[in-house]
Amino acid sequence: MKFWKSTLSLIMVLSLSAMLMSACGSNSNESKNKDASGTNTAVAEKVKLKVTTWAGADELKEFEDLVNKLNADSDEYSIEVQSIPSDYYQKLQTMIAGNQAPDFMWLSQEYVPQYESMGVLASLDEPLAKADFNQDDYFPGALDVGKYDNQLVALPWISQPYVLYYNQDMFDKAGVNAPDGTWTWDDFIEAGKKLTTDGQWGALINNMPLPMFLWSYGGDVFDKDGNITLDSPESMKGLEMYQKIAQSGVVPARSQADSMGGADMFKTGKVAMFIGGAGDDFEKTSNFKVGMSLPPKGSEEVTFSWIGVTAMSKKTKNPEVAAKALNDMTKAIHQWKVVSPTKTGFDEITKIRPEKEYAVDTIRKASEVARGFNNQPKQAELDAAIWDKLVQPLEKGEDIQKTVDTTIAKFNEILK
Amino acid sequence: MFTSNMKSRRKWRNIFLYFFLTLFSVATLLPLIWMISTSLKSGDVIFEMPPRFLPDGFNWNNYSRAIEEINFFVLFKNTTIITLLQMLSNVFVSALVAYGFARFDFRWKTFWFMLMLSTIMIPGEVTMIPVFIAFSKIGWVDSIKPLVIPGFFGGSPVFIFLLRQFFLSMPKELEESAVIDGANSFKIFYRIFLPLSIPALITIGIFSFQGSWNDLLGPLIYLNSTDKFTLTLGLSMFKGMMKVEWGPLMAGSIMALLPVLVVFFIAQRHFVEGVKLSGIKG
Repeated sequence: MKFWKSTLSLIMVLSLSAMLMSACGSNSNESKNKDASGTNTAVAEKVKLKVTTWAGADELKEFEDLVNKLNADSDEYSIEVQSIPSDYYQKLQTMIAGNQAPDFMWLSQEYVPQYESMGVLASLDEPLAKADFNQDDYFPGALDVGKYDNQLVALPWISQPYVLYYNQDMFDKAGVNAPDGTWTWDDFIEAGKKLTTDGQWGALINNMPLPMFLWSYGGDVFDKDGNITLDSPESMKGLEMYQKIAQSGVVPARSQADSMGGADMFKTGKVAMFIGGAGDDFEKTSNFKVGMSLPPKGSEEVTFSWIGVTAMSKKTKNPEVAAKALNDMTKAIHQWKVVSPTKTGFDEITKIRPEKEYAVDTIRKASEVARGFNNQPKQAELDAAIWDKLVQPLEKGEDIQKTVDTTIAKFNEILK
Repeated sequence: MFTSNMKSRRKWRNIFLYFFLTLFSVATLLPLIWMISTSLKSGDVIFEMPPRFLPDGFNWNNYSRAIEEINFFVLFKNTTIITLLQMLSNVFVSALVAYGFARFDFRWKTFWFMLMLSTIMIPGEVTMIPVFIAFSKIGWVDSIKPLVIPGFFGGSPVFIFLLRQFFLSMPKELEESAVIDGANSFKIFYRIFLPLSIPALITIGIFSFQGSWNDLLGPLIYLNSTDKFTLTLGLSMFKGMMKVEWGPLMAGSIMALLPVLVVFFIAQRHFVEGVKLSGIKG
C-alpha cells in the first residue's frame, strides 16, 4: 500500500513538473507572438501563409529577406518561411499526413505528379486568373512541369537548362575547333576522340538524364498523357546514340566518374566537355578558360532543365489571396535565382552572376528549348527501373531491344 | 644470456605493438584532424586536387559564418535544454520503472515486461506519422514538448531493460535490513538502489546524452521555427540540395562536438565500465 502511495505521488510530481514545464514553454511562446503582432497591428488582418523550403543558412536568410519585403508591401497577406534543412520530403509528407500542410511548398519537378495524385495540390488555373499572372512570360518547357492533368498546379521559380561546357585550353592544345552550337552527337563523339588521351577524356555524360537523348531524336520515355513511348522508333534512336557514346571510349567509366565526381573531373581538367546546369560555377572555380555552347543535338534541338517549383496546398484557407501571394513570391524569386524560367526575369542573370555574361545568348537559346521530364505519379520507382533495367545494361553494351523490353515489362509491373 | 634474449624479445614485441597502436590511433584521429583542417581552409582550397592536408592559413571566418548564419548559440542552448531534459527522464524514470520490474510482483509481470521490450523492435518510421498526428492534435508541434515530455512517462525501454538486469543482481539483504530500519519502498529505491547503481546510471546518462545530442529526425519532425532548431538541424542547413558548404559545416561540427568531447573525457572511466557492463557501445 505504502509503495503505491509513494509511487503515485512521485508520478504526480513528475507529471506536474512536466506540465509546468510545458506551460512555461507555451507561455513564452504566447508572449513572443504577442510581441510580434503588437509591434505591427495591421498584420492581424492579413491572410497568414506558410512556405516550406529546403534553403539553408545563407540562402534561407536571402529568401526570408525577399519574403519580408513582399509582406511589407502587401496589405493582404503575410508569408512565413519554414526551413526544412534535411529529409525535406519526409518531413513534408509527415506534415501533410498530420493535417499541417504548408500553404506553399517548394518541390523538385519530379514530385509534382506524385503530390497532385495524392490530392495535396490545389489547381492554380482559376485563382491565378484573378492575379496578375502572365503565363506567356514563362518559357514553355519550364511551365509544363507545373502542369498535371491539363491544369496548372505549380509555378516554376528556377529552370537551369543543361548546356555544354568545354575546356578551351584542352581544345586549343588538341587543335580541335570549339563547339559552335550546331554540333550533332556525332560531332561530339568525333571531337571527343581527338581530345581523349592517357588519363584524360573527351567528355562526360553520366550526369545527364537518359531521356535527354531520347528527346534529341523526338522520342521520350512517356508521352504527355502518360503512355509508354520508350519503344518508339525515335526513342530507339536516342538509346542507340547513348550506347554509342558510352562505348566510344571518349567518356570515363561510370565507376571512375562517380568516385571522382563528374563536375570535379571537368574542373580539374580530366575531361574536356561537360554537360551541366547553366548556373554551375565553373567560370569561378576552374583555372582554365571555360567555354559554353548549346548541347549537341540529334534531329531536334532540345535540352534538359533542372526545374524547381512552388505548389499550393488544397488546404489553404483563402486560395485567391494565396494565389496572388504565390505569384508575387515566384516573381520575386525570379529576380534572385539563376536561371529564371521567365523571359523578363532572364535578363537578371548578368546582374546576379556577372561571370555568365559571355554566355547569355547561349543560355537564352538553351532556355527556349529546355524542358523537364514527363513526370509520372510513381516517378521515383520508374526512375529506379530506368537506372536498373535500362541505363546500366546499355552502358554494358547489351542489346537495346532486349533491355527496352525488360524495362517496359518492369514499368507495367509498377504502373499496374 | 637468457635474460638479454628475453629483453630483446620484449623490446621487439613492444616496437611491434607500438607500431600498430600508433597506426590505429593515426587512422582514428585522421578524420578529426581532417575536419579541423577543413574548417580552417578557404573555400577554393577545400576542393583542390590533389587534396591539401594543411589549411592555407587560418580562415576563422568559417567559424564566424557558422555562428552567424545558423544562429549557433541559440541552437546550442536549445540542444542543451532538450538533451538535459531527455537525460533526466531517461535516467531517473527508467530507473524507477526498472525498480518496479526488478523488485515487485504483480499480475502478468512478464507479459508487461515483454510488451515493453517489444516496443524496441518497432522501427521508428512506422510510428512516426501516427505519433506526429497525435501530437499535432493536441497542439504540441513546433515545441520541444513531444521531444521531452513522453520520456517522463515511462523512460526508455532499452535503459529500463539494462537497469532491471542491474537491479536484479543486487543483494536482497540490503533491502531487508532497510525494511527492518523502517524504510518504505520508495526510500529503498532512492537511498539504496540509486546510490549503488551510479556506474550504471552514468552509463545510461552518457548513452542518452549522445543519442539526444546527435538526434536529427525527432527535432526535424517536430520543430518548425528556425529559432527552436537544434544543432543537428542547423548544421544540416550547410548541406544544401545543390551544394555543401564544407568550411562552415566542419567549423560548426567541431563546435558542436566540443561538449561531447568534454563529457567523454570527464566520464571516460565510467564510459568504458559502461561498455563492459552493458556490452554495447554508443
